[in-house]
Amino acid sequence: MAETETGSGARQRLAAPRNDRFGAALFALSEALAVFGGIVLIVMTAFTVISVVGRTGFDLPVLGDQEIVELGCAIAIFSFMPYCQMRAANVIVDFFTARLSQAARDGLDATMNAIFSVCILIVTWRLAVGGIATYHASDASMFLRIPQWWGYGLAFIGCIAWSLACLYSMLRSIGHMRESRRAGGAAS
Amino acid sequence: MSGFEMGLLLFAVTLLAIMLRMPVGLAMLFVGGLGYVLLVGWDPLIKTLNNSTYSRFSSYTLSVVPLFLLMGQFATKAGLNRALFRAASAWFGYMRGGLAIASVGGCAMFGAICGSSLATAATMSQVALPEMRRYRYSDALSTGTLAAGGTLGILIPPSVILVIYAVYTEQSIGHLFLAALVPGIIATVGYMIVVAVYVRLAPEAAPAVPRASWREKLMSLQEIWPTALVFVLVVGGIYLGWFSPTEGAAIGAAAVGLLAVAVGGMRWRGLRECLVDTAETTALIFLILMGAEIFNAFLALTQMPQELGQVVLGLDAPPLLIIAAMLLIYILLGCVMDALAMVLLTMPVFYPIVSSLDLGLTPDQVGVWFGILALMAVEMGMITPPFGLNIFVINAMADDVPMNHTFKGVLPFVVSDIVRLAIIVLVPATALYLPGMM
Repeated sequence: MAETETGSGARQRLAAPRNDRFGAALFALSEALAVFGGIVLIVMTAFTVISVVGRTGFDLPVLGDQEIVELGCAIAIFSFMPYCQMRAANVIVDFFTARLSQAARDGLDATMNAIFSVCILIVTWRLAVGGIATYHASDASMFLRIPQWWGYGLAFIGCIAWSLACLYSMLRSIGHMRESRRAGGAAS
Repeated sequence: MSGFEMGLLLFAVTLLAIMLRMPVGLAMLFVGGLGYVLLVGWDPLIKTLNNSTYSRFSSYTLSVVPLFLLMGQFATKAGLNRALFRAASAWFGYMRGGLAIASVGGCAMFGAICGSSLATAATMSQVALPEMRRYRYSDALSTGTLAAGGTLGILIPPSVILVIYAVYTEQSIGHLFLAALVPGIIATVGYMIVVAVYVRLAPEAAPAVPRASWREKLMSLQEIWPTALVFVLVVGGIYLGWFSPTEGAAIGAAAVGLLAVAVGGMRWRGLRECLVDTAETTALIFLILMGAEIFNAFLALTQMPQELGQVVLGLDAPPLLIIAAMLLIYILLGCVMDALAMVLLTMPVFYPIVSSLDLGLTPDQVGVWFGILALMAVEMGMITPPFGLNIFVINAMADDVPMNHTFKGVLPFVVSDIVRLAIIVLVPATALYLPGMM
């Protein structure tokens, strides 16, 4: 498939797939989540600036500004994860496997993405357990009394999408592997 | 199997997994988790996972990272890269190799508002590369200069790697930023000297460029004051304790974002691009941070870092030799590995050793000094073959330039890197003077 580039070392990020409806939808969802997370980041930025200006300029400190930043940061970053996954942008070292056939490399990627899926599914499951525990314990932040589980809840949405993205990248690598096998077979 | 052996073994397994194309952050998460289960069992691991991911991602100190990344994105949209290069070439352009010298200067100034080396290399190339090609600068010189110049983005504060180093070693971000300033200036001057020597030896690499008038020179300065202002406000404010690093980064991002809207004409489309690019880079950094969290927890359980530290100290080798050996490991690993991943992977092992060496400095000074050294050593990896990310980025932007020309062009800069690293190893004051002053 022309989506992956080989040999040059700088890996090409993957774009939205064209002939695969589920993949395209998942890609659009991840992108929307990334933009959402970015907007959270901007709100957090604005809030922090207001808090600094209030504190230094008017002697009006905003209580709990740190709590807002922490909450916003968690929501933003969890929302960012699926997009990075869909774009296959995570850092890998391809120097040692550069000599292998394309099919072998795709096979390795499929294996790694399978492990990735298992790990992130566990992370998602435990995030849910942790979130439910904070809900029952009625944990809340110190100044603003923001319930902790709000953050966990929004993070969980990102995490679900991330798990799906992991599973999808596994299927995608398997697809790539099949294709390069066929291409390899045709060439020889 | 003792904890020590298990620690060493799984460290090796992690490296092996990384060599086999496992994403670096995942390798640390997966092998770290595996080791955790082997040592203390499955239940403690999943109990840790209940809150560890969330608390890592909702960390107040680490929120600086996405904010600085966003600021760097906005800087391009605000056209600051163009303004900085224009100013630098008005002042230096007429010299022999002037546009290359101006590229180095432009990269250094852009580095003052951008915390990442790839972003600096890519954005400065957008403006400097066409200009150098217009005046028929050689492929090797133009692409080599920009690849090397990009590393100034992370040496000159703010710097994402320094922030993360500070968090993990419990050093002050403000001190580290200030400590990086003089070494960053040494790096800039060193690169400029490389260009000057290069064009003296190969004059055909850089044809002459007409001299700018005084009017043009002064006009160009008008465009760089916003950059200077943001840099002084953010780095100065963080250091002086006017605000926390997160607040400084937020102020910087807001200021540059407003510039992007007002001066650069950024609208929803541009903003969207900034957001998704920030999302991608933030996510790949936090996957590594998440992996490092579990991996470090596992390593701490094995006590391998402390025992290895004892072994190294037992060698009775001169402290500087040990430091040099670590930097050499960074440079070698850097040939194949990502800078941040290297820092996070090695820090739990290296840092305890470094802080127990007797170097005649206070522990905080050692921490700051070693942070700067490690940063410089890992950054060399960005421009050394075969896995020099900056080289690939620049080469992809100048797609008719053969890769080996870029490699050749970047080599003299690597030499300058090594010289600078030696200077800072031998004269710690280069890094420690500024933070110690106040």
